Amino acid sequence: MFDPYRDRSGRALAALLLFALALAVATGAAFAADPSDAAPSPVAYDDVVELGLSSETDALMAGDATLPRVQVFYSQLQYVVGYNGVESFASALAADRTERQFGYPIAAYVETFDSSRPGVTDEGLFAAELAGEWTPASEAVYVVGSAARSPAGETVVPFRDRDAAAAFVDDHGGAVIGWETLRGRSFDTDTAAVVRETAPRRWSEADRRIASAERRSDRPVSVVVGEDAPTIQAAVDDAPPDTTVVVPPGTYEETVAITKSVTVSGGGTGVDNGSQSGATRLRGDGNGSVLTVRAPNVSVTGLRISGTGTQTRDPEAASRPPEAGEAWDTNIRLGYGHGDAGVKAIGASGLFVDDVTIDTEASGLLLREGSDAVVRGLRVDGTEEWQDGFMGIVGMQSRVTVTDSAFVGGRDGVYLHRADGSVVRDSSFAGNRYGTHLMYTGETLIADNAFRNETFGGITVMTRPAGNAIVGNDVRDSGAGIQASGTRTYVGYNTLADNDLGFSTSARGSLYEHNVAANNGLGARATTVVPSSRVVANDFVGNDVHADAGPGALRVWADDDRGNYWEGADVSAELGLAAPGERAYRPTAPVDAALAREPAAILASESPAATLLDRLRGTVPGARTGGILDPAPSPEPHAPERAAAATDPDGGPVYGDWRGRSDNGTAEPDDATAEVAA
Amino acid sequence: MSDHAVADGDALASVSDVSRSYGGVTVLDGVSLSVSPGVTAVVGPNGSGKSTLLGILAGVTEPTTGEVSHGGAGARKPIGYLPQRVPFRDGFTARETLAFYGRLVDADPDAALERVGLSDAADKRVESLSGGMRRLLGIAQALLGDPSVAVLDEPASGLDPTMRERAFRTAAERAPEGTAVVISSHDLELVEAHADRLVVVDRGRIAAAGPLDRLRADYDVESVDDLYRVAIGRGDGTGEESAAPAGDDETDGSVHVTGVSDR
Amino acid sequence: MTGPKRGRVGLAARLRGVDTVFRRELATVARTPGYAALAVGLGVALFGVVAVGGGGATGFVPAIVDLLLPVEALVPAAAVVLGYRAFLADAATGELAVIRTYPVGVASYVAGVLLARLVALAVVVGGPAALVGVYVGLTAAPDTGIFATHAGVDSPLLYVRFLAFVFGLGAAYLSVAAGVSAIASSRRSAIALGALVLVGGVLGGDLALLESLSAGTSAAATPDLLALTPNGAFRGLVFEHVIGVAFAPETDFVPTGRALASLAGWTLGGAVGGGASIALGRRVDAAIERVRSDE
Repeated sequence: MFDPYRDRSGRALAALLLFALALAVATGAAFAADPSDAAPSPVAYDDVVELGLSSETDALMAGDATLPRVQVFYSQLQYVVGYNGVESFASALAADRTERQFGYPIAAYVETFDSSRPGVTDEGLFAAELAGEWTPASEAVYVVGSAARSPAGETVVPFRDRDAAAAFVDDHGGAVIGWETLRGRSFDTDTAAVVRETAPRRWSEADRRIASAERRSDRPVSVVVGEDAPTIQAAVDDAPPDTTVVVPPGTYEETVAITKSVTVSGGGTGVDNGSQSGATRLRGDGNGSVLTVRAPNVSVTGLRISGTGTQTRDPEAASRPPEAGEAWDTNIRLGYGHGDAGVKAIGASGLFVDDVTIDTEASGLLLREGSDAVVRGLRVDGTEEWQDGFMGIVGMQSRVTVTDSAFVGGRDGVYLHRADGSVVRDSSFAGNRYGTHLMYTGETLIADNAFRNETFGGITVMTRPAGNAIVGNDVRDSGAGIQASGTRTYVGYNTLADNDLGFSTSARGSLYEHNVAANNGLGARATTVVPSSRVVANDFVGNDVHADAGPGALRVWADDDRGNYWEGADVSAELGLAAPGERAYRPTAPVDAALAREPAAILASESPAATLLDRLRGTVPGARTGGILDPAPSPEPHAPERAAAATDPDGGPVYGDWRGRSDNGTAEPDDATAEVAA
Repeated sequence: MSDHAVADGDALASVSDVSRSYGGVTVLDGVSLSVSPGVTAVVGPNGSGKSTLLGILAGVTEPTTGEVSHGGAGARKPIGYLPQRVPFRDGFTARETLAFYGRLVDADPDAALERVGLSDAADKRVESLSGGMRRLLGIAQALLGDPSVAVLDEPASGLDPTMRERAFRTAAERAPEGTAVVISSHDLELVEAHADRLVVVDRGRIAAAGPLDRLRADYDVESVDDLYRVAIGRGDGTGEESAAPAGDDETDGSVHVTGVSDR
Repeated sequence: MTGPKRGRVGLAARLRGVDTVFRRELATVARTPGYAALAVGLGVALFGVVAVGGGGATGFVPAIVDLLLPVEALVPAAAVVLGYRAFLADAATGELAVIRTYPVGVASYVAGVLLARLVALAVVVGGPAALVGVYVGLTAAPDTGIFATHAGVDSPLLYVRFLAFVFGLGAAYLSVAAGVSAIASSRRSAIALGALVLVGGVLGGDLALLESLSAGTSAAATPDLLALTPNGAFRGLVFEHVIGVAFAPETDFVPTGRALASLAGWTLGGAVGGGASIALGRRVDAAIERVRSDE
């Protein structure tokens, strides 16, 4: 037994003293050392979490242009953040939110191009032949105002040596500045809020496109099928350009190729008057496409089309890797753009499809190679099983404007591939795989559509495009409501009910607001590893789980003092335990999640232990893992009527009033907008 | 100050005109006393102020008024003290307890244990020792470091006769080595057997004090028992004047006991 | 002590006195099973906080954020438990009177007792807290390995800093509780006084600050006032030197020197108060009696 006074214990005490001294020294060292000192070395850029501009624009993916990149080590964030474009990083530093979420940068490296043979392409884009080197941002110099631009606009080109920068300025203009000066500059980087402001203008632009297509298709009648020509093909062949070929009601079994700018006007689809006897039916032979358009400004109206082939795409081309010199997505374009369709348009800009019904075994309307089209009153009936058929509309490199249309069955209702500036609005989708599916497609407007029973989801945006606006849609009974990736995406005023998943926040630097997620299995899922989006003023009602989160830093879903409405989170306010919005809500915490279904869980969440733990939780959000925190949950739903309508099983679609919020929603679009949109 | 108050050269500790009250109730009232080598027994009824007097003498109780002085300055431990209630901390063995005190004065705890006959109980925990053994341990503690004055407050109370005897004898053994041993006790037989001098305390005052033999003579009694009765029980009980022996020239009602070096 | 007059005591003798009292107190602490139970309980509580809070999954700083407020209540409680009887025990049994007859000064006695109790504090509080740190160090990892990760400013050094501040907070409470225990007359009153220290410290200081702010004290004085209470000083130091490291460098929560001085002041104040009470208590008592009897 320990005898406190014997010599042996004296030695033990001496050891204790030494140990205490060692602890004291270690403690002293802990204070002497500066943990922010150790600057990490740059990592492979493939391993960073990208923020800022999309790196997947055409020119960049094709390797024609170069975006100067930055990688940043933030004090609170475990992940290395990559910015495409130095100006993106500079803007991020200027934003309060960045520091609140990630801390401050303990190290930042920019890609410098001293020995990379930097230059400017014919299109005015910055390009470097060789890879850049990583240089600490504060040691680099920057060329601003040169001829070099990025796909998004002005770009800053970093160099390690002032001489190399000066040489670049000699060739391409601009001025050389240091890091501190650069930080002080403000850059016009677009944000999701800008996209929000632009949405009404995109709607108006669509109106103008439709009006213009209507005007274009109003041509004098030159040929009437059955009177002036035996077949539609013959009539089209006979008709002079800029005239109308009239196709009286009846059934026409033929395939038609249109190679001149004419209007083909049928008697209608027979739907309007309740019987199909007055319809003009065009029936193909079950091989290839029924109507093929290879000329600009063609209008096709009032037809019922059927008898397509069953080939959905070119299987060989779809699986073939691109050859040298080809665009990187050639295989997709060749594959997806080469199936059978009711109406197939190749290089046919100005196509107007109005009041047409297509019953198809493959695609309904296939557009490729700049076949910018206006589609109104189109109905596509696809296959029962989505695996058997293909898209309602395939838009390959063709800007599409879709309004008042319906897509039933088949693979995707509207599939757009590199179709920037497209608009899909006032349409309905049911029983597809995806309702609207965008690939590499940005600056679009997806508005006021209704989606029902979509196997995978209502609206999905893949492969990181930028600047899409997804507003006022109503998705129900589907796999997922809205899954949009990319950057600067505005997802607002959508109503998502009875889906497996309401929406996911996959898009970076985006804004998710005023959506109603009601009665979904999961209201919302946070997916990006590094949070960079704002999620505010949404209503979560009646979901099994309001929200969950994938791996990554803590997401703070609120804008200063404005959070979301979480049904159940208001229990503490109702009981007078806390002022409305005072207690933070964590939909990913078991107790808070239980609040949504079991108000008695409030007793656990009000325990002192829980309160103490909650208090400082948002202090270093970047350093914290997983989960979602709403520090200021709203005491009341933002859109109670919409939430009520969404939970009404017999209710029709509801479209959020996304225009009402915007002050300039009804303002006349200026010419610049029209130019940009065109 | 009376010249009697000055202790003679043998006095190892003295108190002079000390009083002490607790909560306004006077427990000790203007007592003077000095002790010198030999065994001084302090007797008196319960509540007479014995323990307070001993505490003041040991320097652990602060007198309300009066002076306390100790000879033997420069000794590592001038005074040994055993309170009426043996206070040792639980959880330590007898040896550890003495080792703690011994370490403060460079004394050997094993020798001290042996001196009081507790060697066999060295590794027993204090709380499991019998009352008698605890007292013996307390005495060993008080005598550690060879103090010139050992103040033992009722070292024999609550013990069986054998233990009482042992406790007293152990304490008294120090006296011949020049230690002033001050013992309070209710056991007048033991006092008679071991004490050189006697102090009778009654109601906060000293009723009688002096060498045992002289007091017997002064009061004309045979035994300490009788002496005790006479000193505190005579007269109307105020004890003020009656306490003064005829042969003493006290005028202030208190008694100064000066050391007697006729051992 | 202040018992019999003694000759001048050399430094070596003083140190020996401190050492002897220290050993006795340390043995007492080591033999009190309740303290081991306290350490275990504290460990369970801290691990629970880290497990439920979730911050420990990614690093030290978020773990500290989770621990900060619970620790502000748990550590003072543990410290008060360790200290509330430190000086009462010997006084209550009467052994202090015996010790007074030995050549060990009040300062040595107080120093010995407090040092041993501080060692106990380091073990009882520091042990579990350090284990939590080791656990966090071993298990904390990013959510996903797909991306390159780095530690940011997160570092075990920050946890060591946190432990140092935790010890400082505990030391202040232990010392004050021990100092107050010197004036307690019984175990029951010691418990009451300890509870008073605990509640007064954990709640009272902040409440007083809030009160003074609502009474019109300039908000600019907040950092200075906050540093005065042990909890405020602790919180300020942790924000300044641990969590704040993750913020931009110019953050300024509390004047460091003042906060450290505050913690040291409370610790020393408790010791000096306890010492003064032991040294002078009897004389004050006697003086009161004197005044009483003079009336």
